[in-house]
Amino acid sequence: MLSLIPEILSLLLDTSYSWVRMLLALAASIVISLAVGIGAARLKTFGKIVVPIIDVLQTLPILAFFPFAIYVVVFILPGIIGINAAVISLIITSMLWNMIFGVYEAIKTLPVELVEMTKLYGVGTFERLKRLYIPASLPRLSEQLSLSWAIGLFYLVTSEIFSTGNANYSVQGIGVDLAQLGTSGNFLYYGIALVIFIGFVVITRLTLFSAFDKMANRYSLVGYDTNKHKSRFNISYRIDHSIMFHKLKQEYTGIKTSISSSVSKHKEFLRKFGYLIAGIVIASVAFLIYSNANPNALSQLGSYEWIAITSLAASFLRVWGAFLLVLAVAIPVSVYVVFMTKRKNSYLLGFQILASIPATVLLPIMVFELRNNGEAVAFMVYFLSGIWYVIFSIIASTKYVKLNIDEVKKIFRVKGLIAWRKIYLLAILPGLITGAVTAIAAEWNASIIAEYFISNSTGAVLTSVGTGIGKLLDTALYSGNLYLMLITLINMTAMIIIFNIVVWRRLYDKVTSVYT
Amino acid sequence: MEVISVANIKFTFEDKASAKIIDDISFSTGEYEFVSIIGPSGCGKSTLLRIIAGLIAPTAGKILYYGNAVTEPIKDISFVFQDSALLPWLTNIENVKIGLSSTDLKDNVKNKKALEILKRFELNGFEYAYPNILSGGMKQRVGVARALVSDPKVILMDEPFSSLDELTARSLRNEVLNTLKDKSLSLMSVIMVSHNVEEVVELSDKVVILSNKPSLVKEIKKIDLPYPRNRHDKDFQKTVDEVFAKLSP
Ligand SMILES: Nc1ncnc2c1ncn2[C@@H]1O[C@H](COP(=O)(O)OP(=O)(O)O)[C@@H](O)[C@H]1O
Ligand SMILES: [Mg+2]
Repeated sequence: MLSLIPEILSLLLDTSYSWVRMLLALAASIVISLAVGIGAARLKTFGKIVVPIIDVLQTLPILAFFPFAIYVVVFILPGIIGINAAVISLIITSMLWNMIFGVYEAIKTLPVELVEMTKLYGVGTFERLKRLYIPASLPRLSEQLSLSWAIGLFYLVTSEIFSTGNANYSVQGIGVDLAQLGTSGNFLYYGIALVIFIGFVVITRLTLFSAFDKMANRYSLVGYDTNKHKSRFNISYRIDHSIMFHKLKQEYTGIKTSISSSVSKHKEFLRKFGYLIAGIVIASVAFLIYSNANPNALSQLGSYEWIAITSLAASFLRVWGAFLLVLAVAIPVSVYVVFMTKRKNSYLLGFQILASIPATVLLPIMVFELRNNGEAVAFMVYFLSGIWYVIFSIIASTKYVKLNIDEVKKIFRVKGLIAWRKIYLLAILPGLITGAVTAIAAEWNASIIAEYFISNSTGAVLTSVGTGIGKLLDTALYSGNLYLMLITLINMTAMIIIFNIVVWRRLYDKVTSVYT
Repeated sequence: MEVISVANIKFTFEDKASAKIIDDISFSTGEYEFVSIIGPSGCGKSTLLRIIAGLIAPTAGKILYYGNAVTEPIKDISFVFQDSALLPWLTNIENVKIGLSSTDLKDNVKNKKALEILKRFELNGFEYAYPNILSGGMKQRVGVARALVSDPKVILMDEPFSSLDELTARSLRNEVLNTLKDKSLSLMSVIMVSHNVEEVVELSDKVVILSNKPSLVKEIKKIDLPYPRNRHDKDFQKTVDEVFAKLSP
């Protein structure tokens, strides 16, 4: 027993390192989201530009940019500082979006009288920020923290595990430990590491987040939905406050607040504008690299197009194959929890605790067990990355219509096939769509760890798919092939944006036009 | 003959520590009778109506339908919800057909019945539209059509007209009252929850007046005025005043 103590201490130390990264990222995210959220809500032009951009950014597979980010950041800031900066900024980009929208929403729904009052009394900008906008943002911000934290943990573990793939980019952290212990089959220590990790997750939620909640809710205004009795594990609650769902919920319940009308009035224009901006950003990055590097960069890029697009096609099949399994599991499970069981809350709590543990902590053990089957590992990772988004999105979206549906169903004794066809499947459709968008985005995000995994001690490839976009990105990073990395990202991003416009938006608009 | 008997119903919400909502309520409805339940807001009217419907189990007491205990929703008892409660993803005709879910009718027969009743409620032209384009009054007409399409013996209505404009409410009230009083049709009893005293006096054969917290029957008042009732009538006004007097503490 005693011999375990040094190892446990070192695991605790590494977990603390990881948590320092998380807390730094959280602090930065809070500051950025306050600045951008308040700015977007109060400054008209700024808001018109920023809101659609964020809408696009949150559906992009930011994790897939990680290898690229590492490459760039480490190039600028070499060594351990660079890699840590890359990890932290990655976590920030994962946490930020729903927090910004939380703040934005809080300021947009601020009673006009309060703003007018500060104008009447000639309160200066700084004072107004300090005494009105920031305090008013805190309750909504605090609602978003848990979701952000859960997503951040996923990215933390993933990026740490990912960084172990190459000794040059390795950091010290619990994700690294989990990867090493799992892939070497050291089950005892792996189990201990897992327990420590989960312990940190639970303690953070019960201390830090409850304190922040308490502090923030002091500023809660009358009419604000502070949901005091909601559990701290209530991820579904957080998810339904994310922007996608926020819009849907408004249309669902017919409550039109100023935010949705101001966003939806220029919806089409803004959306196209957003895509345009994203396109321009990508194009200019490409151009910068092109002009700074050798003159035949373009032909170099072009020569990789074929391998990029075939890899993308292979991953597309994997991502959607896993998503079909996600649907096959998530639909019956959510329908059961929403419509059939009386112990909905117990299930929810169970799911919420499970979901707050990032699926990627299980990756090393999967890699160990399924060493010779890269396809199976990839499939499992894709599946686990997507499943919770769909389940929570469905459960959250039906919360608001639940009571009536339930009573209508009972009064008119709607059962069996008719109930499935006319009630369950249609009732969950909006939640299913928003869940699907985020689930697919999460799956693409996971592609860089799903498809390729190498041991950092030996450098040996532990699992690998035949061909795939994640694998391509990883190998491009390890071989330092910037052009390959870039062309891969461009292909992936283009595919996702096109898919968003052609499939998700249409579906989404169709559904919301009926479900008012 | 008694159609619905409410016998010594008591109710306490399980989750709220011993907050007694309904204490001891008994009344009954006779054939072709319109019975209203009126009382202060929050006194438990909706809860009581859901107990009668078999949606909620009472803590004590019984609901009888022609002498048989009601423990779950049954075919003969239908319900009109306050906010119409249409399923937004179904067209209006599909929403009405929900009222026929538990019957063995073929789909084309269901369609025919649904179209017929939609026409009766002046909703032709909107059969294949979704509820979101309808006005509040039209939605509630679809809600009433859904409740009546299966030819129930009893309908329970929870403040069915409270969110409608007066003109729409008036025509819908008449439609329901005529369906009840027409002895060639199946409907035998209507129980309506309301907080609108004039409406209650206009429609009801009997008014159950409830008190607040926990709710008890203050009085069961028979109204013998002949139908159709005229709101400007002196006797009508007198009855309204009497009900008001009972309602005020
Ligand atoms: N699910 C519930 N749990 C606990 N209390 C409830 C619940 N639903 C309603 N109540 C309480 O029961 C009382 C009666 O509610 P309700 O039947 O809706 O009143 P009414 O229809 O007369 O306005 C109210 O005080 C309400 O707050
Ligand atoms: Mg009520």
